[in-house]
Amino acid sequence: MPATTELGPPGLAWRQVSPAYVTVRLIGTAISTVVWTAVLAVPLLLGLFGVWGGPTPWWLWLPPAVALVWGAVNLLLVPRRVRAIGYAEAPTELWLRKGLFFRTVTVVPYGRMQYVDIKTGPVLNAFRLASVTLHTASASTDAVLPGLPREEADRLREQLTERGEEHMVGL
Amino acid sequence: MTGRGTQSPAEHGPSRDAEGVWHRVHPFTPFVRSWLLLVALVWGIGNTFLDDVISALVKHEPINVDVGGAVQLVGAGLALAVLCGVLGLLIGLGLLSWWFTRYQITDEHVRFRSGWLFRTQRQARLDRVQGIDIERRFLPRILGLASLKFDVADGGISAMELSYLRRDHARQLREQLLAAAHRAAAQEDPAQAQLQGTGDGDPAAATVGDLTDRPDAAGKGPGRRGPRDGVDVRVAQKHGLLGEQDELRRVSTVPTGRVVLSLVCSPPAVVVAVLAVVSLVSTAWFPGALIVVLPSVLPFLLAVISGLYSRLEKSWGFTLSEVPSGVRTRAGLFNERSSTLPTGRVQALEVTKPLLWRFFDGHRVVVVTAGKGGAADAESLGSLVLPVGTAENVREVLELLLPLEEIPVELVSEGLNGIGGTGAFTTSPRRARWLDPITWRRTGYAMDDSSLVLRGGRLTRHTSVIPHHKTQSTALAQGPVDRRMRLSGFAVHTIPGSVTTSVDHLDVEQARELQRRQAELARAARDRVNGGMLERAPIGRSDG
Repeated sequence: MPATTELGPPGLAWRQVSPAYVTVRLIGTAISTVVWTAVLAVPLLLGLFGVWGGPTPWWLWLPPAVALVWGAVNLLLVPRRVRAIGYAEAPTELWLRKGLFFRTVTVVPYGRMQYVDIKTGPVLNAFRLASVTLHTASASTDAVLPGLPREEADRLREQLTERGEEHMVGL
Repeated sequence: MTGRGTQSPAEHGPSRDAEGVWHRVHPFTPFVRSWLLLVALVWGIGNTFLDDVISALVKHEPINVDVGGAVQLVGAGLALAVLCGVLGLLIGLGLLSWWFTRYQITDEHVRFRSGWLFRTQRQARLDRVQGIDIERRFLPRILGLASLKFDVADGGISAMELSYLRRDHARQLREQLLAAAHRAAAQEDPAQAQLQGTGDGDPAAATVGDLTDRPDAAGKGPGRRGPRDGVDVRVAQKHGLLGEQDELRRVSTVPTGRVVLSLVCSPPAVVVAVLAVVSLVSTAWFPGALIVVLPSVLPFLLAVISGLYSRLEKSWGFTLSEVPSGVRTRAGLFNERSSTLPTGRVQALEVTKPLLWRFFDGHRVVVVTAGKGGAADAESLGSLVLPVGTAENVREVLELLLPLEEIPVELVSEGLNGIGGTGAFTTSPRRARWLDPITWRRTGYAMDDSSLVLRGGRLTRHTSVIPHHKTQSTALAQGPVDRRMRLSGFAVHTIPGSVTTSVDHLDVEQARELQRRQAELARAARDRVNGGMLERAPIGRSDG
């Protein structure tokens, strides 16, 4: 698999998010697949239980089937998607990459970070993971690192805050 | 004192009043203030009574008003009399309130008194006046009136309004007040004023000083001269006596002819023209078609016309001036609006050259700024700094607004006129033509040490300038198709605004190189700015 690194500059030490995050994403994807399939299966079920009367048209099977297939493909891609997420700490900027089909490589100078968020939810918490979001003055900066080990997230936050203060510049 | 406007009463005698002397505001004031009420009243009367009454009088018929028995009972004459009485009473009350509305300007204070039953008096100390602005709302503007708004740092009140005065009187009064305020402040603490005036610690003061020292800049402007005559700008600025709205130098004014031309050549106008032609042709072929079609097109037409009107409001009489705190734009036909862009706050700038504007060399310049007013400002005038101007105007705007030492004037002009990868610009590779058949030779970027210049658009050409030290972050983005074709998009993230800050379909190698170099140059630019800031203002940095 050609890594996303080919978009980024050479010579950066990319780090990946925790492998445990694959499980988190799998759980999330599985739940959403089930929910979508269930919702889209409602007309079919109504048809099968004879609420509408008459024979059930075959195309009522399509929506839940599509949802199921889509979910299965997503589930298969999850490990690769998670492996595509990465970050590298350069001396003055943080580099982030993500995406399998739609790839982005983002550069955020430490001095530009306004604040760093650490978030965690019940599932992330169960795996002792946290997600780190960097905010700059620009709303279009999309710098999220999901699924870092808690200690790594704390370390990164400390590091980023420290470096941010070091390189801080006004608008 | 200023030597302008000879007919104003305030011109005679000194600008200060003795204790007992009071002036009145313009007699129209109460009516302008409550114009809505008056209009509603008159309209109501006209609607219910006058129509019937007048028609009856004209036709010499017995009056037959269908507003209920009351009028018929007492007779039309009496009803009219009552109405006139009410109107007269209102006018009387208005005049009474005018009579008791007075102001006074003494050595130290501005006092404003109003009310005849419940009297109020407000006063502001002149040496606490931060700025005096002239406000012109719609109705007062038609009547040639204006109000003076005081920004006061006085603990008690924060704003005081003197309304309404004749426009030229208001203008003159303001200049005198600014001078008087300056005097008051100087008397209070002359040593400090001297010290602060000559100190070069404040970059803003230094800028103003430069302007003052440039006689050609002061005398050249076609507009009125600022209130600088008689006021030492530097000292006045130190004391906050020059309002943010006080003009130091007028940079450019958009002539009315060009405004009209720009509107005629704008998309809404073209739409209207096309609609007109279509409707004419269709009526010629099928008479009566227009009557069927018009009602359905009307809402759309109204939207187009309102768009046209908003363009007109934004560009009519547009002036760009230097003011102590930065650059001020002002425009408006009926509702004059002005907004100030503080120095060095411009985050990104875009010059646009629409297809139809090419034949008269028209450009529009839009900027993105941080802070100051926020979204409301950006929505109105704040982001538009040149509605329509020549290449020369664009150059002036660039030099004035970009917070850079070297302005990439050449790059911008190439960005507007160049095509293909021959000059300083790197464009999309040839294989991108499948994705971008029209614009691929225009899409491109160029960089110098201080800023990144992006260009694009074939018909409507646009060029953005993003100073390196203002960029927040950057990103390369590549979709599946891009990847197959070894292309990639590049985006610079700045404060959100209406400026294009991304290029699509660059060669992936070049895009990577661009991101790497941009990061490097931005780092260097930030360090430069940081270093400069350290030299100028060591306060707040412990390591100095």
